Amino acid sequence: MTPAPETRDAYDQALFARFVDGEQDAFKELYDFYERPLMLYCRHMLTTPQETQDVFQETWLRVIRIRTRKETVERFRAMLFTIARNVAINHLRDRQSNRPISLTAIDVENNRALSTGGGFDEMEDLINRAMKRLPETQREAFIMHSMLGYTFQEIAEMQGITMTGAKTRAFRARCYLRTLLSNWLGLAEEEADEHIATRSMKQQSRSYKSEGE
Amino acid sequence: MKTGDLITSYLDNEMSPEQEREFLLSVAASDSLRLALKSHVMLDRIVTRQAQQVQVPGAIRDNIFAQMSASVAATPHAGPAGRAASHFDAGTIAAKSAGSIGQSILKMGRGAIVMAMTACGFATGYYVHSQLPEMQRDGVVAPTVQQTAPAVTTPSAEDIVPGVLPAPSSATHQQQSAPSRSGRSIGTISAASVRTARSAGSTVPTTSGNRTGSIADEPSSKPSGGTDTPMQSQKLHPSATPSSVEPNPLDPPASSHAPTVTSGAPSSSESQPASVSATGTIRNSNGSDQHMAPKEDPK
Repeated sequence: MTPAPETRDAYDQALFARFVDGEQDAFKELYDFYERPLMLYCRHMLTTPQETQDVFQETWLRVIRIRTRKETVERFRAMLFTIARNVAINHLRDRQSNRPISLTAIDVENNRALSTGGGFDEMEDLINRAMKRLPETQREAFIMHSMLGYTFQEIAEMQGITMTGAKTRAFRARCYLRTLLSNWLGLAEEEADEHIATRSMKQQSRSYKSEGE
Repeated sequence: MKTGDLITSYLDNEMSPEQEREFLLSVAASDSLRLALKSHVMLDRIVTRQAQQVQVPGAIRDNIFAQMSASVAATPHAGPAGRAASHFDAGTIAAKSAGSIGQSILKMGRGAIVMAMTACGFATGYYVHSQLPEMQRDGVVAPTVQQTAPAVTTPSAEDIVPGVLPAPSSATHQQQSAPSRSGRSIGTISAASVRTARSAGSTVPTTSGNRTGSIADEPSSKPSGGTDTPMQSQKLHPSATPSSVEPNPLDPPASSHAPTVTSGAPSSSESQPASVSATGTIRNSNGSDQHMAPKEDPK
């Protein structure tokens, strides 16, 4: 039985307490519930699938290690994503030390050229690529708010900032992505308009020809 | 208010009816705002789709659960609930394997067999230990006391060839029961002592204490001479006191033996080492007696 969202924290706390006592079914229930959100978070926070899987697995292994310390966890969800965040940041640091990447570079033209004339799948690919170029803090706030459904208060607690700061980060990320998408959609609209205009001109010319004949 | 805020407020139903009407009018009038609203909706749709499409490889899941099982197995009894869970698991496993009642009976039967065998061992040992003096008196088993005083004569350094065990000469019934042990013991010590003494020049090996102990503890054969025949007759009677001793010439002087023998030996003559006579006389290998000054003269 899945608990209501407002009672989810208390339910998770009870599940983790049972897991600390040695119940494997409690861990299985926690894992099944948070498996996909955590994988989604890791996938957007990191670049390669290998990094994503490494961070995902390391996060759960750290949760298992916490059990041996017999610690009481009040908010399992916040703890889980805080661990994932720390592990992901460590991976990003290692990667940046080896292969620096400009996270703030906005290559709208490249993305536009890439995705011109595509459908929904290409639009999704465009968003994925654009999200990798977002600053980590903005990307994380956007993922947690838009994809995982966290409130800004919870994001602020996890990132150690104010609620306004969390809101600003998520908003900036969304603005960037929306602008990118708007440009793509605008380009598509322009192309559509051009296509319609061309088509109408052809039709007009045909009508003129038919009238002349 | 910015465009993004307007769209978010509209989608989150945070606008009043008047604000919403104005927003929709502006969307209809402005291409950019319409495009922004469309992109916002598309972005939400993409995000929702990605959240539904995410998959976790089964290998990672298996690895995580294996680690979790190992962790739980390492510390299964973390709390009361853990104890209850572990008991439940044990019962389930027993029921699945062969039935919990049958398992319990089988375990109890094994435990009873082990306990019975242990009790039988203790009883046998106690019976043998209690019957040992009578058996020794009947001559069935060599008495322990006799084994403590066989080394009346030990071969001299000249008689011992390194590596060759001295042959027993006149073996009694008790000595024939364990000739190899006695020969090995004396031969080994003597040969080693000779080797040590010859290699070290004039240094006498300080094995007096050990040799005295080994001679007193183990029955030894009589490598030479008939001088030990009287001793054999005395050894058959525990009440008799050994009269003569032929010490090994490689032993330290008798004066150095005296403290060891007198201090280590019990006061009774029955358990007194055979190397010392009651009068404190030690018989050397050449037959001459060496008188030791006894600490206490019984007369």
